[in-house]
Order: sequence, then C-alpha cells, then structure tokens
Amino acid sequence: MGLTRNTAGDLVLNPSVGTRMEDLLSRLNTDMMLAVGQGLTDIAGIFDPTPFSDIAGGLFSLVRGDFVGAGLSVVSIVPYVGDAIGKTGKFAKLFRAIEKMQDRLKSMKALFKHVEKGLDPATAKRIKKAIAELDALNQKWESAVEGARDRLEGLFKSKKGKNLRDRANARIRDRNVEGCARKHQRDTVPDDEKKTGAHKNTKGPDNRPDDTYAESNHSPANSANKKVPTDEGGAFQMDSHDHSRAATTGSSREAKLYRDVQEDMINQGKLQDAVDMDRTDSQLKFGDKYDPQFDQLDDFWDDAKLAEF
Amino acid sequence: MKLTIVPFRGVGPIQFGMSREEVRKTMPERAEPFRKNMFSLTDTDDFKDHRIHVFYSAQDDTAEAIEIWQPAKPLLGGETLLDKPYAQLLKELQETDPDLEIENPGEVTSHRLGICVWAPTADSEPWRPARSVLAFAKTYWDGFAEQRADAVNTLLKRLGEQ
Repeated sequence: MGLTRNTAGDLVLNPSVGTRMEDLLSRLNTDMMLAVGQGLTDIAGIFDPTPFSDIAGGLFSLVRGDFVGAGLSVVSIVPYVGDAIGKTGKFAKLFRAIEKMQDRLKSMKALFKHVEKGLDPATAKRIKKAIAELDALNQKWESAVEGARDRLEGLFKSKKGKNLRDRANARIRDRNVEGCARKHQRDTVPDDEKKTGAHKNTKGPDNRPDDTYAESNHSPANSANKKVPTDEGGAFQMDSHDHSRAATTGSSREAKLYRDVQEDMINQGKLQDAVDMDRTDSQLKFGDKYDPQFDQLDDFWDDAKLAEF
Repeated sequence: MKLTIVPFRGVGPIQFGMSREEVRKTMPERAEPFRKNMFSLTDTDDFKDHRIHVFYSAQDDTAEAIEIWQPAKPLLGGETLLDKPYAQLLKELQETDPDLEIENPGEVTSHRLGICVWAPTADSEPWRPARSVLAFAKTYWDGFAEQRADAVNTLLKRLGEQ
C-alpha cells in the first residue's frame, strides 16, 4: 500500500508518496483555478442581460442540483423553461468538470489525513498548505453557486410564497411513507449511553428493555484483527446508519482495501495506528460524535493483554 | 419499493451502467453523497430511508455496485437475504453456487450470482442475519487483485489519471 520496511523492519510510508501527492495537488490547483475562474464569470453572466438561451441554460444547470436530486425535473416545476433549452445548458459541462476536481480534492484530503504522520514534517506542511489553498478556491466557488441559487430560488416562489423546493421535498416525504426501510427501524440508543468495550459487551441490539437499538462496531475491523476472537475485540456502539457509512464496513472494494491496510498494520504491531485510522475516518464523517467512544477504546486496547490471545 | 436483485443487472429500479443523475431520478428520496473512505475515488450515494448505497465508477460516474443494508429486505430469486440467520443464508448460497468464495468468516462472494454478503461477526454469532448484501456489475472486481497488492500507489496513479 505504498508502505516499505526500514532497516529496523518497521513499516514506513514510501517517501515517493509525498512527492506524488505534491505533484497531483499542484496540477489540481492549476486545473481548478482555470475552471473556477471561468465558472465565476459565467455565473456573473446569468444575471446580466444576455441572450435568453444563456440564461435558461444557466438556470437549468444551477437548479438541477436541487430538483433533479430530489427526484423531480426542472421542467415539471418550471414549465416555461423548455426541455430543449435545459439540455443545452453550457453550465452542465463546467459543473461536471468542477465536480470531478472536487472529487480529486476530497480524495487527496482523505489520503493526507491518513498518511500525514508518516510523511516528513516539511513535506506534510507543504501539502497542508496546498490543500488549504484548494479549499479556499473551492469555498469561493461554492459560495458563488450558493449565492446564485438563492437569487434563482427567489424567482421561483409560488403564489403563496412557499418555496417550490420545500413543496417538492414535502411531496417526496409523503411518497416515502410506503416501501422504505425506515418503517422497520427502531429508535437508536442515545449518544451518552452508547457502550464501549469488548464486543461481547457491546453487541446485541435485542438486549435493551426499551427496545432501542445500536450496532457494535469493531475498531480495528474484526476481520483485520485475526488474533483476537470476535467477542473479545474492542468495539463501540454506533447508530446503525452511521455504521453502514464507516470506512471498514461492507463488501465494497474500498472497504476491503481499508481492512487490508489495517491488517497490515496490526501484523506489524501497530494496532493503535489502525484504531487511529478509524478515528480519523469517523471525524471526517461524523465530527466529534464518536470521540468519547474512541477515547475509551484507546484505554481498552491499552489494557488488553494481546499476548494472551 | 421491492429491492429485487437481478444478477449483474441491478437492484429494484437501479440498473448498473445508469448515470448518477439517472439513479437519483429513479429513487423516491434524495441522495446523501458521502466518501466511503480514503480509497474512494468518487462519492457514494446514500439513500438513507431505503438503506441503499450506490457506488459509481470513477471513470464515467455510472453505477457499478449497490449495497443494501439492514433493515432493508433485498430479494434474490424470490428469497429474502437479510432476515434469516447467516448460517442458513450461507447454506442456501452454497447450494446455488458451489464456487462461493469465503475470504474471512462472514465475507462471502458469489461471482455466479453477482453478490457479496457481509456478516462481520458470523464466527461468533452465525444465527444473526448478515448486515449487508452488495450486488455488483460484471466488471466491478476487474483488476482488484493488483490494486490490492499496492493500494496507496494505485490510488495515487488513478488520481493522476483523472
């Protein structure tokens, strides 16, 4: 995974990883500067008196992110914006290009979070700075899009003054009453009652008298930690939906790759680093929600007598 | 909505090869995109009420895998998958696909049926249902062995190609 062994036999990050990340970030910066610059000019053009097709194309592109995502077409909401005009919106292409760049930025940020400690401090500092610059550029773009969206939504108020997007979302909520998984779900265990410890003490959604529910999440992943029996492994309770989004869970390619890395680390005696990977992932997704559980988990693994397994 | 898995075709209304926009149009709820982990090259769409995650190809942003989580009730060949003990499900799958791959306890792949099953505590709790089923497109696992051998460098290489 870009890991090599040093003379002491420890697993360390290949130094080329930092250099390659810097190259990629530099390229991304150039690409994003150009695209965002173009995008900001185009957005400004929407509100200027320009030919109608340009305006309509812009409207379509900017609004589609909300309405199409909600399962409705812009055309059904705003009939006077014709279908043909919408499909030729020049913004759509630019938006897709910028979305791709945002994807690249997200990937680089996630990777950096996980490899930061393994890089030499000077390289890590340069990468952090490059990411901060890209974040600022991205923020500028998001603010411009948000501002334009707010102005456009002002144009789409219904007669009763209610925002059409809110009405659309309400209709969708009504449709969701039938046929969704939510009706099978139970209330989740409150955050301050979520337990941490050996899996045998955190498992079992059915053992609570009030029928509330949480799922036991091993950290590091159970399959990566083969020496420790499933019931003895460190775990904590998570909301079921959060658990499905965690880095380690499921059968996707990325989940398997992540568990492989954790297994590598554990085989090298770096169990705590593997737990730190999970903490980083959790903070990226859920903020500080599970920090207390990770603090307790650190204590659990500190006290665990791994040699006995 | 019935979540019927059709091997290598899709799940319910979601077909492999659909664009992200098409997938979102077929679903009656709004997607919540998220990044599964550091190895993800693009966002995964989370349809929370239906407990469905849709994974997209980084090349063309089309659906290539769909993971269904408890308490949703996916069906395969008329049989439910996530509301029966894992041990029973495993037996049924082995009867249908004798070449079933079991990588770790509770990590099962059927290349014939186009699904993976994930039951992380199957060794200690085989009576519990699996947590998720992932249906995948035919090409989903292509090149995965090589990627696995050098995950971080492969990730950087692919980021450079984007």
